[in-house]
Amino acid sequence: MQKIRTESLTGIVLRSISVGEADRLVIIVTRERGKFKCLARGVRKPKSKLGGFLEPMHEVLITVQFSRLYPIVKDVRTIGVLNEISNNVPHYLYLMYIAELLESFILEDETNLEIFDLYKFVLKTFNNAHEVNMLILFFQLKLLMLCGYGPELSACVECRSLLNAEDQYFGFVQGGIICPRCMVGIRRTQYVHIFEMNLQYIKLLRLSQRETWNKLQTFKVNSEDIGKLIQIINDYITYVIDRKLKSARFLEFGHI
Amino acid sequence: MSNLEYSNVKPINNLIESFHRLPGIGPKMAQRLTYYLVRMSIKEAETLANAIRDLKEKVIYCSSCHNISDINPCSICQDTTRDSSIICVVEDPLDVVAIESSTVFKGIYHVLHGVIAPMKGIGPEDIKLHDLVDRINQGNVKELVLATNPNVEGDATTAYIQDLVVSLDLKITRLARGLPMGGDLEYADFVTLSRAIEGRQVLG
Repeated sequence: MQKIRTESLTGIVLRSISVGEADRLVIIVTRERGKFKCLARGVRKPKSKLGGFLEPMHEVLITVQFSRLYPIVKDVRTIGVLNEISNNVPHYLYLMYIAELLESFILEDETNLEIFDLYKFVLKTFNNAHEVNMLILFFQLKLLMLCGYGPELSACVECRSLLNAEDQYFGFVQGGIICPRCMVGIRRTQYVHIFEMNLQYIKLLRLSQRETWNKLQTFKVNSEDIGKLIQIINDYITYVIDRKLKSARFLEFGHI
Repeated sequence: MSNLEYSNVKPINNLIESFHRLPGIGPKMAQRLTYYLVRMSIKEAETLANAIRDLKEKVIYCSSCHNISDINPCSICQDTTRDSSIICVVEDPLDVVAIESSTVFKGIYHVLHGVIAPMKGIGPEDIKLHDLVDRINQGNVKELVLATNPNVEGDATTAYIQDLVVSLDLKITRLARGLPMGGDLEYADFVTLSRAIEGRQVLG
């Protein structure tokens, strides 16, 4: 007889999808197994003992039993509520974007502790962040770095020369900064994936990519610049993952 | 939708594919249902076919509350014994059925047909939200009961509606949070327990 395998994992719920009569398919990012989907049976019923524990942004200790299709949730306990967003609509929209971004970047059953810790850190820091947009940009760039898609921001990706103090270009296809001299040789068809970058933008991107959040907080930044950079990096992400994030359209300021 | 050939009989294949498109029905279940219908009498099959046709031809959305109905305005909106100054905002028509079964609520409804769910690409303009504001502005609405599901999406939608109508002269309430009847306290989650304690009531 085949032995039934159960595992206890520490994770953060990214989202859940209603399936069947009263079940939910929970997408969770875990410390031990990376992202995976599991089935929580009957959790949409008011008397469910597990339903309340499977809300997004809760760090949970989850016990799952591996079956043929999806692992079945057997037990869940909350370790900590990383963020309570119920009353702040803009924060909710941003946090959903962060969750979708993470979900689309990480692969199933691929452990990456650094990404898990980054997500946990962002959730915990979000409500107290002096500049929420800066934290989103920080998350975008750190995630890109950890997934191996971090843009090259120190040297021109075409000629490898260090950048001069002048306006540059950011090429999605090339994966980083293109100097004005190399820009001449770029084919016109690629222009849709190229953005002009002033020095301030490049500096902000470099800082967000390299520095820790504590150090980043000490810099004075222009909110409008950060907003534009979030959009540019989001476009870069769209190019990398080859699909638009559904929650990204809510990042447009004043949309809601 | 797959283009699999389930059977070499075309009508059977078409019906299996149609069943397979329904939520929660896999290819095996679609096959079982189809072969059950093959064995069904012609009269029973006609009743089923007519029921489906009637559903599509006669069921409409109430122009006032957006609930599913066969008349416009729906029977609840037309009912003069109900208190039209209280509107209960729910996510979908099934929630109306659930609240109506409690027989406690005597006001009228507004069905949103969804909640704000950024990860599904659903924003405020994709649900029947702005009709609600028009309804409040037009009528003599005194209370808005927000009865979205107690989850992150439901709470965010509640917060959005609250922001939207806060300037209007209106009492805004939402369904109480707490422990279900017959439930065990020891199994309650952190959020439910904290909301239950916050919403505790004085006895006597």
